[in-house]
Amino acid sequence: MSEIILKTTGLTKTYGQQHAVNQVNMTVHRGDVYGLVGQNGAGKTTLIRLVTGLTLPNSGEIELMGAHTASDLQHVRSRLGSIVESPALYPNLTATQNLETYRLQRGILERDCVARMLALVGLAGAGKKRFKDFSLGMKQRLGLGLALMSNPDFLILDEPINGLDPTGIVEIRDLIKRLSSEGVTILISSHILTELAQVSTRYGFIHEGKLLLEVTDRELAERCRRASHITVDDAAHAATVLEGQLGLRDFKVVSATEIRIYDQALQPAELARALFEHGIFVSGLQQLGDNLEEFFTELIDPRNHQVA
Amino acid sequence: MFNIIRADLYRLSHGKVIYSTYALLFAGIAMGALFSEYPAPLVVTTQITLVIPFILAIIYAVCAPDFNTAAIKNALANGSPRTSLYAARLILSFLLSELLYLLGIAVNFAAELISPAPPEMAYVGSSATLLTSIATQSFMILAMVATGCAIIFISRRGVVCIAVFLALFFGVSIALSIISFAGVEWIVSYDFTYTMGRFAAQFGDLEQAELIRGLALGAFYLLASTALGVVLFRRSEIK
Repeated sequence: MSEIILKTTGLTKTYGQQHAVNQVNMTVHRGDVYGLVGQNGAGKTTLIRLVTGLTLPNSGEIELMGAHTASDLQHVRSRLGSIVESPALYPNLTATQNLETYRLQRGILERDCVARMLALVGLAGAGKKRFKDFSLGMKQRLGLGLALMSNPDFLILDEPINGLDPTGIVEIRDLIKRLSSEGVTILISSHILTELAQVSTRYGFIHEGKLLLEVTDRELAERCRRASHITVDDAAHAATVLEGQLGLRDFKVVSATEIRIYDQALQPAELARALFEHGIFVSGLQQLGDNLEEFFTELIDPRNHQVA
Repeated sequence: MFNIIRADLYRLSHGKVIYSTYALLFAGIAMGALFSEYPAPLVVTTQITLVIPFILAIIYAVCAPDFNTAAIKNALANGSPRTSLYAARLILSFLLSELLYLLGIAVNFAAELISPAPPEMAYVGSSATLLTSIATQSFMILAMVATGCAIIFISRRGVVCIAVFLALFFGVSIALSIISFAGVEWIVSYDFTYTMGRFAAQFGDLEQAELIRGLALGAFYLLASTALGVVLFRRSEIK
């Protein structure tokens, strides 16, 4: 098991009577690109604000790069890079001046890192432009440059592709992949699931403040795979029929009465009829999702909360 | 903390607020000194209330932008201790405000030297008395800066500081003078302005008790506001 970069235990934050984050147990390992998935208002940003120390939890613990105590957490946060909610920089300063201010504040000695960061995020030609005159996409890029200034071990990005045009999205995606390949652990929150699906190696699904599920990309791919989920009276017998009589090999016996069939050679209705003809009673048949959105929609359905 | 001060100086040096604040005040002082019938020391010390808005501008320029733009998130999320951030802004505000005050005095004297119309009144105080008065007022400025910083760090909004100062320093003073409600010395505006004004008016024969009272009052505001500001800011939620 790889080193744990972030672990929260029973993390809770309430505002009045409302639980913004409710008993969240979350684990990010070194090298992960952790996709934090949730609707608007699900608690993603509050969770990130707790991790970055912008707000204090009501209860629960945060372990960040091995640190537990408040003073240790503060110390290790110097190894973080983050964009929380939206990039916050000084509007009347230029891009270069903003990064230089931050360089001085962080005590970063390399003077050329400002120019390097501007080039890295595709703003080499906009260094003399004031932040207030930037488009939303350019602001996002500059925010990312600022987050990367101190070569962080752990990068936390809250909705990093908001406002980016398609080219910008591709560039940021490539940058995230490159940083990941260089060993930077990344936590990305987003509600744009198709984008997360292209970079994440691990996912956390949050809804109404609760972390419903944590899975690796492989586990998620397995769960999202298009399949016919059938409920029968005898799954073992049904498996024999599927393989021997119907020639289907790609299926999984989930329980004594449930089978998940990934082989799409037969339509669901044909499948039910074929099984019935071989003496197997099919009491339920369900088509399972084929993409992250459907999986997520299914997951946050109140009737399915017991999944986690 | 040193890095934060360096970064803030860089930020301020690339903005217009500090330059225009200094320029406006010095221009005002110079114009006043050129045509005033009073000698420079008297003008300087009695002008203290006129300096207050400019000091307020400095406090605002140093402390408020981080909250107005939410840029304070960048520092805090990357492990800058809140106490260091607070201390850095407080120290920088102190330095820039005192510089403003002392340079203001220098401008005043310089303007009087080149004034075509020498003051009609003669200065009767001693240099020692003048220096004591200036030192006391400098200390009162520190107290005012500490109070202003505390208001911004507690409210996390620059505009609150301006509103509070305007209301207390000017609104209450005006109201007090209108209704002649003497004896309500606990009000911050009355304490600062009244005490400073009294130092100025009486610097010729500054009483020990006045001096001690002023210093004690300044020390109270400085320590109380700083302690409260640090404690509340350390626990506050950053939007």
